Amino acid sequence: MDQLTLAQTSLNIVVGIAIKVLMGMLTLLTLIAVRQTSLMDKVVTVPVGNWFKIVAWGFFFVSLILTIGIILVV
Amino acid sequence: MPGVFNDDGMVGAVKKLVDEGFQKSVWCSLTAMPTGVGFEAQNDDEEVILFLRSHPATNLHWIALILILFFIPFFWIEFPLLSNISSLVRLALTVFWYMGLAFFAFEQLLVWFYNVYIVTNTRVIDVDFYGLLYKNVKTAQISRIEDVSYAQRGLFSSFLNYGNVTVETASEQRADNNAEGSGAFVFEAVTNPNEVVKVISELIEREDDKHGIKR
Repeated sequence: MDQLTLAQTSLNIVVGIAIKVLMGMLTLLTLIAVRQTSLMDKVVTVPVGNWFKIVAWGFFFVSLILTIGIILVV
Repeated sequence: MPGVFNDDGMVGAVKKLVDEGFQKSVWCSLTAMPTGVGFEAQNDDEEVILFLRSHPATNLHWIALILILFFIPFFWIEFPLLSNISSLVRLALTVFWYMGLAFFAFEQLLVWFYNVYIVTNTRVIDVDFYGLLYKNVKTAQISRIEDVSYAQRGLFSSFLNYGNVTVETASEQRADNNAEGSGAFVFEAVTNPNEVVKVISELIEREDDKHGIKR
């Protein structure tokens, strides 16, 4: 019984760390997407280009907040 | 109405597209005489005649994939390993899953939206973005275009009227007669490929007339 609880705790820690690392990487990717969106808009100018930039920034901030939340809580 | 309609060599095929309503929005896969559209290194006297991207149907594969992946967290509990982790960790995993999915969808949308083909009164431009980190922009003067053709393959492309338009320039023809293999301009899966070919052909004719070239 104790061994099962220990295994579950270890699994929680391992999965928890993996999720934190993956969320960090996702946040980094969203930052790259922000940069890339503005570069794309520079190459091809379209009326909705700014909308994409706003979405990319929004995505980055949401991802950042969630990553911080997960790092602190999990 | 922009200059392309005013001078002697009026591009009738463009006018037809405009009349048919292909001027509505930059979200469409084929826009004739779009407003507010430009590109890097655009000359002052250069006007965008056609603004093209792949047909929306080409996105179906990743949309279907996202729809399938969307429902996987509903069955977390069925996975033996995941059923043993705490609900807090499972919630974090679910958050990561949906964030990753949303990012994938956004990235695919961006790549589809900005992978465009532009036909101006003087050039054709092929803008390719592969993922988020690589871009390839090719341009060719209308006067250097040797041949333009299109191909529709498969049930979907025939049914939805989209296909690949191949634009061969002089240098590419010398390099290799197999245009698609040599990296010629291939406008992939564009809507109304026959109309696109007509527009480019008329522009070539106009350019030839201007310079007194006989083919």
